[in-house]
Amino acid sequence: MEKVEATINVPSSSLKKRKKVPQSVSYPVVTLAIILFVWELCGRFNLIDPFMFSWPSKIFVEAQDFFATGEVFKHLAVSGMEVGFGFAMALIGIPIGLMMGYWKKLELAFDPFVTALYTTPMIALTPLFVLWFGLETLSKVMMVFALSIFPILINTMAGVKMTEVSLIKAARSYGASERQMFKEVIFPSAIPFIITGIRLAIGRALIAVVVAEMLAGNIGIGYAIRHASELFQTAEYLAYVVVLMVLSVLLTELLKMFEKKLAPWRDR
Amino acid sequence: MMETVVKTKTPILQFDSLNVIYNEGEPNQVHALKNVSGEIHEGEFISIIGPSGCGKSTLLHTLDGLLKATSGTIFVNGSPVHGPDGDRAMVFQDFALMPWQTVYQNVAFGLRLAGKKESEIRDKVMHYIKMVGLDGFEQKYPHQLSGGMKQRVGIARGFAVEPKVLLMDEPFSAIDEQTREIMQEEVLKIMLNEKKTVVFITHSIDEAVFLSSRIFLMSVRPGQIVEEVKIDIPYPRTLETKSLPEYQEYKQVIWDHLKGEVRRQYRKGEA
Repeated sequence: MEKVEATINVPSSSLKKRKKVPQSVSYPVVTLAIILFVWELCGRFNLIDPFMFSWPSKIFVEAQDFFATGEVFKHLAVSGMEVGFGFAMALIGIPIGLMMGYWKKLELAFDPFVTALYTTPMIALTPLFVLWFGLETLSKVMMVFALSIFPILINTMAGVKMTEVSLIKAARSYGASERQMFKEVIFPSAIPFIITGIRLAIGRALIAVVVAEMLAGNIGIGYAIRHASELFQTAEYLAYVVVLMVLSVLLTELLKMFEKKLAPWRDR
Repeated sequence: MMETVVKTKTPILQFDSLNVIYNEGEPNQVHALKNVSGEIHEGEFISIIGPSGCGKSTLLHTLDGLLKATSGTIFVNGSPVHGPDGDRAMVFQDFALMPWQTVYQNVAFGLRLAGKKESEIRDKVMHYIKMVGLDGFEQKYPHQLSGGMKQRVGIARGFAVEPKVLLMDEPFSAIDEQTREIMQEEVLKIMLNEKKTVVFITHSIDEAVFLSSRIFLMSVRPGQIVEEVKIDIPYPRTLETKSLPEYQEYKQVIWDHLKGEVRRQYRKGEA
């Protein structure tokens, strides 16, 4: 009985594999298509006031326009650079988190403050950062840094503390020095947590850069959004938001690929 | 006869009135080991057996140097032990393999930590991977292996540092019954080939009698070695050994000793 089933199933399932897209792609694509279609219909039947909101085809036309003029790339380059620098600086959270997770005394001394800063809506400090670091790039870089360091730091720390005791014991039994303990056990064990921290930080970094550019500045995606909204160009405004959305999805996917490379032992 | 020969030499591992007290001086103080002494000679296979919670693992961890004894001394070939070092290597109950390292890297673990040369590491690692029958699996990760294979990696890792004494902490308790019997036989074969001294923790009487040349029986807490039983069944032993009448007798003797301890523990309400 079982054998018969197997012989029937094998070829059909292998056929499916060759022809069909994986469900993790096809399902969300269908959902998206339905949403876009209904949304578009609402627009076409004048259910949406173009002053208040917009619909896909209009947004698409706007996007095409600023892609063609190169306007969007100018803003993207500036915002990208600000995020890049700020994020690179925030990676200092990894070594700090490693140390705070490993040495109990460091954790005791600093953990309450790290938690406090992490939970504070630091975005509220933007005007102060502008005051300190000026209207130009630096204030945005610092905002990105301030918002993205804490999720990285806190997750790294959690990763260190989640290291299996038996592995630490094994390393100690085989004569690991403090440095070897970090290199062979603690750091690799924390990698998945570090990646999670980075993923959370990406979202916060994008918030930081957009808000800072909205409040002060004359270039960058945040500025472009504010500018469009001030001119009541709702379609253009939404087009920039879509660009941001696509960007953050791409970054997250990129990180997932990176994680597979970095932590091959986790593909089960 | 063998006894008179080895007794004249310095024991390879000697421990003298070891006491381990957890949380000393606090209300939750636990006297885990009490005046535990023993001598282990080169080439012996010693099993330590006792009711659960008697401090077997504590004793093994203390012998390795992972735990510091509250009092008492440990000597390897006559020189005192101050912490973990290359003279003793541990095989862990839960394997304790690094999930991010391949079989090769795991077996090389101790050698790498000791800063050995790459070529030397390679030779030794390949030798011991072959010894445990894992050649061809060098580049696999632990999660791709079965429990029995994982512990082979653990055993190879222990051998690779070429310790004087191999300490095994219930190495087969997380492995299924059938695989365990095969592993026991293989471990014996390897021990005889490599002429290793082993201290082995188990709660299985069968396993202890099958593997050991001598068995230390421990009492309930505070753990003490209350009895030593010499197993006079010649090596090499195979699975057929288990059907010998003297094998069954030894099992009975050990069980008679152990029964009293388990009952005592039961009355204390800890079993």
